[in-house]
Amino acid sequence: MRARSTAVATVITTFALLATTGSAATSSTPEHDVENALKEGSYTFCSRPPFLPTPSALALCPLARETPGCEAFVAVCDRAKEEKKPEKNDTFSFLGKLRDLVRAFAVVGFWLLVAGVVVIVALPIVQAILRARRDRAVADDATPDAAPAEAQITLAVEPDTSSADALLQRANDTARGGDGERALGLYLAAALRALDQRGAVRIAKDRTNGEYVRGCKDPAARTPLREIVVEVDRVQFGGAVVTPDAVARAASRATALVRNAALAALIVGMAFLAGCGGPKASRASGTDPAGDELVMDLLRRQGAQATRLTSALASLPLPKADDKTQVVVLDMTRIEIEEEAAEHLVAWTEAGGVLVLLGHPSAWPEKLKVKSLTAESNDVVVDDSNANDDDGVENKNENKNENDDQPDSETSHETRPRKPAPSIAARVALPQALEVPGDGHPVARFKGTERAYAYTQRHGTGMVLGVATPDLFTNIGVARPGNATAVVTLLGWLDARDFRFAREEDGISPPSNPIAGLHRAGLGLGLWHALAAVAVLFIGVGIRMTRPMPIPPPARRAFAEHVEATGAFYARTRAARHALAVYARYADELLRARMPRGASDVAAFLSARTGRDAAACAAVWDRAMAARDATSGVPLGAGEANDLLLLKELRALVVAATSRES
Amino acid sequence: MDQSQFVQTFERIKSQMARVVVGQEPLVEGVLVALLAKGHVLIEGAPGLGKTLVARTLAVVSGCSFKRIQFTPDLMPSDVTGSSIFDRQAASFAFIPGPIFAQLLLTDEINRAPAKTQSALLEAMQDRQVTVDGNSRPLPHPFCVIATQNPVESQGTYPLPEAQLDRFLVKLTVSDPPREVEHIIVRNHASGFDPSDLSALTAAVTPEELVAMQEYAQRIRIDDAVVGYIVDLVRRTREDRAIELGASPRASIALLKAAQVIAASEGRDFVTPDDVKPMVAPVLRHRVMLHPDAQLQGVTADDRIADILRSAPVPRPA
Repeated sequence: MRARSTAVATVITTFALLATTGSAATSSTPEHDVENALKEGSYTFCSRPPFLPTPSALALCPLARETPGCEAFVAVCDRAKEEKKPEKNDTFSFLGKLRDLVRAFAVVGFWLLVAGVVVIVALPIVQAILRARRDRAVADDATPDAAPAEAQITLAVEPDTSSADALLQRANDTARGGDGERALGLYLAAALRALDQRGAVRIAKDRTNGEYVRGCKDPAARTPLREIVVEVDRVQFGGAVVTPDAVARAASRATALVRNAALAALIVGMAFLAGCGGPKASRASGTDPAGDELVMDLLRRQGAQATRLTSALASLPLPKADDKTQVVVLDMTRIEIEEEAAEHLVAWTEAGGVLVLLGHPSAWPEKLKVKSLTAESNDVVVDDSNANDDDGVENKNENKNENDDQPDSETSHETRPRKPAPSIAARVALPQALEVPGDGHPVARFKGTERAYAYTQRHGTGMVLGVATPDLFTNIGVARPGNATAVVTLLGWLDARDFRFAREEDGISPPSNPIAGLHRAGLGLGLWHALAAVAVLFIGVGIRMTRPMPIPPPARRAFAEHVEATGAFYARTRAARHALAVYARYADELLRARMPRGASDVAAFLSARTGRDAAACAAVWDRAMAARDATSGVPLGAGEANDLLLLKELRALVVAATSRES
Repeated sequence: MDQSQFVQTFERIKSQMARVVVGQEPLVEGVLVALLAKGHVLIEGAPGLGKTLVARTLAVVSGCSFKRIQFTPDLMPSDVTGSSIFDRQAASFAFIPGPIFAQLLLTDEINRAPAKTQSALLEAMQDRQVTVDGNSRPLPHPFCVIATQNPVESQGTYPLPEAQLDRFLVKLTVSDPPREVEHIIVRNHASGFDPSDLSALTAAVTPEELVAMQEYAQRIRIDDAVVGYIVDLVRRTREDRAIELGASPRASIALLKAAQVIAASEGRDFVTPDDVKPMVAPVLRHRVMLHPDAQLQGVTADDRIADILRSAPVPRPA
């Protein structure tokens, strides 16, 4: 008993010295702090637990039975236990099938909706792009210099140049100055600006005053606007003289419109504030028995800083040597971390960060994993960190001062010499232990065994506090009498005062680009479908916008292919003589048609046309004719090679003779 | 004729015509504006949409003399203008006036006659006179040509030449009526309405009153800013790259005249840009020739005019 009270006092002293806010934080024990927090705060996890508690919360039911004031949650636990018995019956089976069916329909409906939305969104975009393409030429040319002088009626008063109130003020000033015509224009501009801010009209350079009146969506504003327009048009286009009455009428109408607009904006603003402020203020915290709000509250009351992590685990900034020690508390039963985040977390720890890992070790980052064991008891004993120092806290500070030339992390995270230490008793819901790694130091054990519940281990310049279950770090866990001191004692091993509790979403690394973000949100397939739909739409609509391309005339290859095929056929059948005969017949007909009337000597014609020797031409021609007339008996030479050679010579003559003619 | 008389007469004509012509208010108003602006009307629409009925009804309601020519491919210019015929008894040529000598001339299916015959209307439409055998004969006042054409059929038709088109003050397009309007039309016929018998209609105005209205509309004040707006709009049609041939200065004048009539019908003695804008498309759509590329892209003259209207700033108080 004496040992226990000494340990508690030591823990309190530790936090008191570590706290920056000093005195206010450490006036009571952790147990008192928890009691006070439960009284002062809006913690309803015991009195008004969720109707359908999470499995994590149900796992804490044993602790709830030992916590005073948690009868309501105990009742929920009992009810859940009862309901769990008749699990697989026909009704649930039927409902399960129905649920699957509905889910399938919902998925199909969702994708149809996505497709519809994509088409609805893409269609106006495509139309706008096409319209913009058509307009580009006009827009480029529509420079003020290009416009005729008469058309350059620039606005001395553009309605959209300032606020309605400012325009109204200027109009009043102008009217007082005696410039009625200009004042009328300003009153109209003020009225239009006010209506534009209310969304009743849309100011555009191409809209006429009449269009503003007709297009005004506020029926009550249409009449006063028309009256202003009538006055303005009468003066500007009708050449009428401005009368004070006309200015006064326009002023009263414009003032009414502007004031109404301000009133409407005020009402909308108030409604917005009322709508946004209420629910947030009344939002209760600490409703989940498995939550960690009470733990954070306890740490704050003990003088430490306890906040939510504000960045993703994958983007935690690596600590520098002179940074204050920052502790990240990570409940691995609730937070699923990606591989990238796990790797970064290990690097962050090695760089000097302090990590508190809660939950089953199998879910921990690969490099920090330890073996999971089963304990036989639910009672845990936590060693007091400060009890290992000879002189307690003061001695520890002295050691620190002596080692000022070393980095803080080196001194603060150093594993202390082991001594039999006074211990703090606690109880957990799940008897789950873990195997302490070789260089680790057990800081909490299951009572009566050597099975460790928690350990500390150095990693680079940082430290890891591994805890087998997250029970102690939950609302219900810390509310159980005795557990609060154990939590504070356990965290006292870390020698730090800045605790950041990670949220479920922190385990997901931020997407590197919008497409990756959509993928993560499960919209990857939808995105690709949308892109495909847009591409199809572009092709479908854009094809009509393309300029017609001149179609190249088809290559005249039919005859050439026919000749090549025929030649190949002759070659395959070894019919060179037949080919020669056919070509000779063709050449005879062709040349005779080209010869002068009355001439009959083809050889002489060839000689004359080609300029070659008459005898040579006659020889070639005679042999060709002999081939044509196979019965003539004129020797053709020795075989196929000669036939082909002759064919070549004849072709050269015919081509030369006919080309010259052409 | 003063402002209130103009408005009353204008409304009286419209209400009389509305007894027969159902659901074609823009068409009726456009025809009236053209008539009072001393212009001519080209009505384009599919068969059966009441183009001819509008012209015939206007003739009855306005009390003007009315002639109708059905343009056919074999129609000759002399069939329109009239010709000199030898009179044996007088032993001289006597001029027999053609149907063009009417105050309201309906030229039905004008694009079915060849260009030679269409050109017979050029002088009449521009100078309001007809020259035959060297003698110029003035046409009656008021004089208005209401031409119709069918945009669907192209077989056996002769597109109007640009010079001819330019002489029409407005080109009005008629579209299919909405269901409820069509329901009323059919029900009227079921109740015994006969479009060929317009005897139940009475003249709401005399030709003299029409001439007075024309003269009154001409006196409507138009500010320099509005003139600048009109000129700017028309010039933009010449600068638009999608338009091969923009509108001529005659278009600017036509737009001005039409805007004057609109302003007078609204009971104002001055023109505002609001009077100009609704007449831009009817006045310009037949006066611009689209670039072939734009036509291939499916761009229409109305599309380009709408874009021009969007890009042109409206004059504001200085």
